[in-house]
Amino acid sequence: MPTIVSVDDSTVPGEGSSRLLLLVSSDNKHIVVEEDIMSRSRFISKQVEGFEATSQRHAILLPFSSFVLNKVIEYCSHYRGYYLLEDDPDAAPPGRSPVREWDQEFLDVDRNMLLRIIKAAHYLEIKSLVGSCARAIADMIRGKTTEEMREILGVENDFTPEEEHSPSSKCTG
Amino acid sequence: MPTRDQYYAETGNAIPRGATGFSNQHQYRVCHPNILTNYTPLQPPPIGRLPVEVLSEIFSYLPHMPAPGSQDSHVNQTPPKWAAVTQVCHHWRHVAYSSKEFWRVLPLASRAWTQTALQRSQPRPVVVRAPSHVEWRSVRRADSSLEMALQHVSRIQELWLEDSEHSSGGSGVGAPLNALMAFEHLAVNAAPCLEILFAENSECSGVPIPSVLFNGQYPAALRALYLKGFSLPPTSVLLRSPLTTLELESCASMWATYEHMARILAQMPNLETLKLKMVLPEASDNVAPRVEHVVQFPRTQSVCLQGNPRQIYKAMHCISFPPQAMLELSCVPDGRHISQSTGLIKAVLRYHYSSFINNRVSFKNLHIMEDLGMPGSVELKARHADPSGSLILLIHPSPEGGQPYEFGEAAVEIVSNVPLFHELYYLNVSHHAFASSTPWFAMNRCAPRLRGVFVHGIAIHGILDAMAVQAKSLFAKLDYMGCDKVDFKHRREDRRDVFSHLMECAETRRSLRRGPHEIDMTLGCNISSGMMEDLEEFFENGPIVDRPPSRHWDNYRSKFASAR
Repeated sequence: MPTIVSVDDSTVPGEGSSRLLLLVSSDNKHIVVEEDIMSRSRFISKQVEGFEATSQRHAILLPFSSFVLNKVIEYCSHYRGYYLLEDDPDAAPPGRSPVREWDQEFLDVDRNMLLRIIKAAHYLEIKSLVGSCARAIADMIRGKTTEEMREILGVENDFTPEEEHSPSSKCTG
Repeated sequence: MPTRDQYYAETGNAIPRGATGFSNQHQYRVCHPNILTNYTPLQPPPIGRLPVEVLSEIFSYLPHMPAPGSQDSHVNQTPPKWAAVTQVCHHWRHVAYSSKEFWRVLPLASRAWTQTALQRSQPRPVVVRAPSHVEWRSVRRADSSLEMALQHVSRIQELWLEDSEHSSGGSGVGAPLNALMAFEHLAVNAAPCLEILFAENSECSGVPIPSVLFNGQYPAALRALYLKGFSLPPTSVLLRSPLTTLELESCASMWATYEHMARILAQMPNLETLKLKMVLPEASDNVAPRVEHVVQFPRTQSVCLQGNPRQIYKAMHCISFPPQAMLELSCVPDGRHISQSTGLIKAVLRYHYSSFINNRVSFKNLHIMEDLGMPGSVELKARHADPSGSLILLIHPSPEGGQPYEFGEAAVEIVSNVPLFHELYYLNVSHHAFASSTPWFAMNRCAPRLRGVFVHGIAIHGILDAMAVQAKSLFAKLDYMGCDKVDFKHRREDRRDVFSHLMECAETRRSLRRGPHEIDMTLGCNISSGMMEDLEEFFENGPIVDRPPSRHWDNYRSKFASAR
């Protein structure tokens, strides 16, 4: 559950028709963004609905850094006004369509950043971004052996030798 | 010192309730002293602690991705490569085992794996990817696994029967046994989930698909049908589905006439992709088919037709699609008549091109040179629009060679026969085409609205004489029409001499007469004396001689005089 910080109206720019949101990152940076841009995030949309219900203005405190948040905002800005099937809650789940070219460039970041973006996207409920990040991570580990996967993504092997080599774990689990 | 972000990345937790933001690290430390003291800066990245849904989504992509360097990672490997995620750690194994999506692509490496995947993915629809042929190395495994998978036809969402590179390697049977087995199952079982059916058989064409499929039930979910090398009866229920993708190649006995083909295609108004390769009905003449109604495909984004020019000519009379659609026509010469290709172009453009906007029509493997009795092939890409549009002619010589002049003749044949030039505003000619004299004649006749010419290519000695003569005609026309853009470019910079000066001269004069124009001329070439005389005459007596020549022109004249 996110924390919503009540703020003084004067601290929120865009009073009136411009519909701006104040997002506060975990490093305490205040980022003002148009509500329209962040409407791709179901989480933000729900928060905004809550604001309207209570007629109170709030800043939304988010548990990731401004650097990550800015990346997410960049993504949302790029697809502002676009319909993406993955983000449509009423649409059928999309198939394995080819990754969008812009997404490929956008996600050409180091693995730590990629993981932070996917966590942020998951937190903000931006399905299309989660899907693109997931595909990028899957591409990193595809065809790799178990050891290589552990090494690439820094996962600790917590299996006992018996568990790791037990016949049941090979196929039927 | 770790930041809060690192902390959240490590823990995956949301900010605690009641937190109101922290002005500095000290304040944060005071609130959460235990967390920070337990933090290890060199701890590996936290993918293992990603939310289960996220990790599950990552895993779900793996079975759909071929392993690097392998086209077929699902059938011949035991266990499949992607299953390695179950061996990484407890968390990953738990996520993988609990993810139904992860097991949707059935591994056919062994019956045990197939069985496991069928159980774990239940009740989700599954994807079956198998070779259409039985391979000798896996004959005891893959076919039995495939048979097991096919017993769950009602759950199959995608069925791919692909030709693998090993398919011709060992069985010696030559027949697509797996495909036959699959169609037997499809014949007697309903497949309510089946959305994609892909069957490829490049070894022997005409393997029949049963006329009755799905136990006589209607495949309501089928959206994409790809068939290659099979014999599909035109009455098949497959062709009565609301398809969005239809790709047929080398399929025998599809339809007898174009009228018949039109009636069948009319049942698929939602088609987005249509590819008909070597399946068009025979065409013995050039008479347009008498279809009751041209079949409209309002959603089509891509159309590809392959056949001889007569077949394509007739097929194009049967269908209609939006101007935004990509059109690819691949011609196979039938060796009966010459100039069929130009006839084809005329036909296509007459019926469709006039309405294309921002579209590109690609004619591949157009053997117009053979039509003209010359070796070589032509690729024509046409792009047409309002005044900002352009048309591009690409003339590629064949590997056997051919004289540039002949290629130019081919371009002439196209240019002079295509009525689209009535609305041509810009012309871009590449390679040797401009070396010919006659395109300019053709333009004079056919392009009343021409606003600009772009020429990129290599001028070859011996043909510029003719070009010079035609340059007069060309520039007269351009000047008459007030063309605002002429772009001659040449790759051989060392030959930039006389002709470029002439062009600049023309530019100067045109600017003086008609105001500012955007003209870029960097042509350099060999030039013969006869050509120079022609050009001199052109500039002295041509339509734009009412201004003093530029200094380049003076230089040219002095050089020319000394040379003589």
